[in-house]
Amino acid sequence: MSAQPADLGGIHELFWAVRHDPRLAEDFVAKASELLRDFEVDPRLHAAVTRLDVRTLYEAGVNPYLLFFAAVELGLSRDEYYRRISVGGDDG
Amino acid sequence: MAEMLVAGLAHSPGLTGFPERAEPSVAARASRAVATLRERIAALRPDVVLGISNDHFTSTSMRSLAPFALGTGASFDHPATERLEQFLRIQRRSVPGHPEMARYLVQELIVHDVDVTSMAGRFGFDENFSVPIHLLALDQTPFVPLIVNAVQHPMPTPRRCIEVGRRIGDALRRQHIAERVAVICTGGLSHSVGTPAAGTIDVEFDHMILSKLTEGRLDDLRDLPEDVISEAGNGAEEVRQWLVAAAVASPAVIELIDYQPVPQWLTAVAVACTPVPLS
Repeated sequence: MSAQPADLGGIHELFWAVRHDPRLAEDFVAKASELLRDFEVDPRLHAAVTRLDVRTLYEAGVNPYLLFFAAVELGLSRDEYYRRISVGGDDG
Repeated sequence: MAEMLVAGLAHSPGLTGFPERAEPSVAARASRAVATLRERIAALRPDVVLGISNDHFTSTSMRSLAPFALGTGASFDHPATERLEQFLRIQRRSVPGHPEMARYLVQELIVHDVDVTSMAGRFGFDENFSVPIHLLALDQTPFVPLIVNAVQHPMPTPRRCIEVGRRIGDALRRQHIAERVAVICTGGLSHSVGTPAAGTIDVEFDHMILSKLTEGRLDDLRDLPEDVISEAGNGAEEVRQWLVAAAVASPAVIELIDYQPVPQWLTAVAVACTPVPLS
């Protein structure tokens, strides 16, 4: 039996909020676990979010517009975003 | 005589935010095409502009994504935020709305079986409207935004976009609110944003769409398969705006001013327009 796809509602809410509230983006580094829980982000995506592993998130079905905008708000440069989403990888 | 001009223009942030990434000759050609459209709109002296585009989650969210939504506010933020101001290199200001025309269109569309959403109050634009408003010098002209969902599935079908465009065209031809109306769809044809395919432009797809629009074969696109659109990139979903606008103009046919792929700006720059008598 194949695994259920990740529930993306929470991560879309979180990324939308990050884009619209710069303070939330600033807090993200210090409060990542808390925010992931508050926004009910699917636990299977927690590691990818905290590492800004945009390739994994894209392949999980996260909307690429929200993913791109949120990643930029969370400190990724445009060029680094496209490098990561093309070849995979993260900041670790 | 009441007049309308229906136009289409790419809204790539590269047009204002990072034009230098393109070759100077490419950027100059795009500027000339935009200038041609700007002059035609200026000659019309529109009383109101109906903008047709998608929102990139700047003023909408997945909590409520309407297939079609009309902004009925008295003014809008152009662009929405300081960050967008820096990104697009467009000085942030207020653009007047046209609540009377917007409410008229909402009412007329609903009466004619288009369940359009009304977006009341002030909200902000991203590249969707801010790039064209800036390039076409329209920041003083009352503006009514029609937002088409082209960012998250399920999206309105091509067939529905054409139907809605025709209902809008009918409503504009019946109205007595504005003598001169500019209808401007904005968006790319094939392109990708935030995906590994960013920078890829499907020229064959673009030519297929533009040839149908400029040869009066709009109805050939009614059953355009979703997978054909999505294979041309997530940004290609914005073709919906072009379908709506072409249907507003119908039976008049859009004339292509220029088409130029610019991978450095992530999309091609298509510029088109046609005059349409309103009475």
